[in-house]
Amino acid sequence: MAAAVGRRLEPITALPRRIPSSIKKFLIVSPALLWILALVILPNVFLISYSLWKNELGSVAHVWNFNNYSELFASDVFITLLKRTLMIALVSTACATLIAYPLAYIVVTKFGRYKTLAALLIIIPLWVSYLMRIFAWKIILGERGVLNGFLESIGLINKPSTAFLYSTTTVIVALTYVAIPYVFLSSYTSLDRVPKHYYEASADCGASAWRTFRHVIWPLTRPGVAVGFAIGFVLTFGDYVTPAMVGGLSGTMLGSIVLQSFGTADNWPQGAAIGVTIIAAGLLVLALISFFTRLEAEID
Amino acid sequence: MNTAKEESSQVSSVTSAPQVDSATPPGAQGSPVVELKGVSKTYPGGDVAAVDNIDLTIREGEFFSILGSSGSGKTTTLRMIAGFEQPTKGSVLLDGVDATGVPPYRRDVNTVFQNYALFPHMKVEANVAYPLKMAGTPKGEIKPRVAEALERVSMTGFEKRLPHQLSGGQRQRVALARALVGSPRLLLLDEPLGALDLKLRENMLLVLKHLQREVGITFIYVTHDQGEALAMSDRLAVMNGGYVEQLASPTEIYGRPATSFVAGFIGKSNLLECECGSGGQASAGKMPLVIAEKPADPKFTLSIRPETIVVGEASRTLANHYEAVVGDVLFLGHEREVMVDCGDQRLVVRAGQDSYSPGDPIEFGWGPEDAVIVKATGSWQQQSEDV
Repeated sequence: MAAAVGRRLEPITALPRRIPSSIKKFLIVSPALLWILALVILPNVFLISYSLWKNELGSVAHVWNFNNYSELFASDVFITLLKRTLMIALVSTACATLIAYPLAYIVVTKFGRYKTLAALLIIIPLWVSYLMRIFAWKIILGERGVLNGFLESIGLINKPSTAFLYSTTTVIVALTYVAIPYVFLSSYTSLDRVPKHYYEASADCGASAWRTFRHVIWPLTRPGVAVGFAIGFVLTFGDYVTPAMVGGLSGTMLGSIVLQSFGTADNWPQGAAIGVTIIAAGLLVLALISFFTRLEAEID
Repeated sequence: MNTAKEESSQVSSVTSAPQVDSATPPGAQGSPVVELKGVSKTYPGGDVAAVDNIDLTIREGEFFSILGSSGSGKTTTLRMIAGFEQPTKGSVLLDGVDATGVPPYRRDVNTVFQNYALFPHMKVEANVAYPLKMAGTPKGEIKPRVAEALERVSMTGFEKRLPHQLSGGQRQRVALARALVGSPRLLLLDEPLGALDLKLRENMLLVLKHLQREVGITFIYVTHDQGEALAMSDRLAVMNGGYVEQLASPTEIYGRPATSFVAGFIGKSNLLECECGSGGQASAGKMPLVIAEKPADPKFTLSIRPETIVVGEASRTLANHYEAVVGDVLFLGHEREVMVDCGDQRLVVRAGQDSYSPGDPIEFGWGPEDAVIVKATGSWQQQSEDV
């Protein structure tokens, strides 16, 4: 007993205290900070700087001014393109959401243990190169394409139509297709998080499947759909490959002139200004979406 | 969907036309609210039936419990009554009408879920108003009824809270209010107190019992806690391995268990494997026995509750009297539980405040009428797991 009393009591949590905790914390978060700094903050600082510099015959003069922006917004072409791009991105993402969300709902509620497999099959197109997928649309919609062949064979048209390709509608169709897997993924995740007992509790309270969806499932999954919509919007808003390949003149979007400014036109400040405008528009839409789909609740 | 509910309530008023005298004990004569007829359920992919050919009748105004350990089929039975599962065989009758295949939202049945299942994006008042809204109750009527339901469970003042801002016990009360607000014919409770701590659980037991008497709705209460089931129920069914082992009142279940499983699962019991000798003399191993009833089989199991065993000199006048040695003693506060070794048998007796030490001699005995012959159940291993 005496020995026990005489023994010095060691604290149970005898961790080495060589590094102060504040430095430790910093060391832990530093990789993430470095990543954000190098790949998010710096590029955007460059982009914004360029957009505020001056273009002098293809070379950049480091003179700060807002001329790039005022020129852009004074230009009819830019305004038309901005409006069209906004319209195309909103319409195609909305179409994608209208297809992907019900699809996700059916997969989650009806496929039972096969739902993961079904979800995988739906997002598999993402494994194929983007260019290939858009090119496939060219094959489908072209003058000698699958659609024309089919319509001809059933006798609906008697000579191949050129109306399917190189139009605003074509771009919308292709971009809808591009956005579907992203909206699906986000919708699927949010629907999958709703526990089964909410469906049961709602049915138990006398709600049919539709009313359960309207009053319980939709409000709980709306934020997830919004995230999917936002991803789809950002992707389609800045896209330039699709309009270039299937859009023709009437399908040109802002992304195409960014490419032009940095490329053939050799006007980096202007391209940067358009880029910043695209980012700002994207952020604006995201802010609006998150404002209207806030959910105070937590799913337990 | 409203028409279906109206129909069922009309049917109920017809069947319950001969008014039951309110003085009769609940559950004795009420018209049947739920009838299960030869109901079996095998889940897809499973080879063993979760519920195996059970028959149950639950009457109006009854507090009926289904007691069993996990995997006994009690929750499956409840889910079939609610309509979340369909029986593989047999039929479920609600108010005398075959409800097999009727979806949950067309049944005049409400459930209190184990995890409450309150809608997280709705305030308390919206959660409680939900069943009324779905039933098409006029707007002006909803508010007072929600207020009344919340008052019943002492949750007035919490209307504007979201579920995650409430404690477990409070969520439980709101779930109860939501289930009761539409005055259903039948309330199903699926281990409603399972997630609460002991003190809250005891409190909620009283709330539930009180509430059931007040609203007069039939309650079906599923639990694995024998104490809850005994305390609350008018009648209870003990389930094991998909079967109903016994269906009776709590006093009968406790006093006259039908099977060795029931004897072991509910309370503590001494189960003695007995044999009838050629001279009609029964014995458990080397212990000779006097029994009150004649066993159907020469080999049988006898159940004797520890508290019916008399310890000390008073036991000398009893037909079964033994002298033995104390094995172990457990001090439980209000009494001592003594394991006695009598020949090759070990029995548990209650010694009150008398102190015994291991190795002490002890005498005890019981009247033949206190020992009950029980049918053997396959699951012997469960008996030792005293709850």
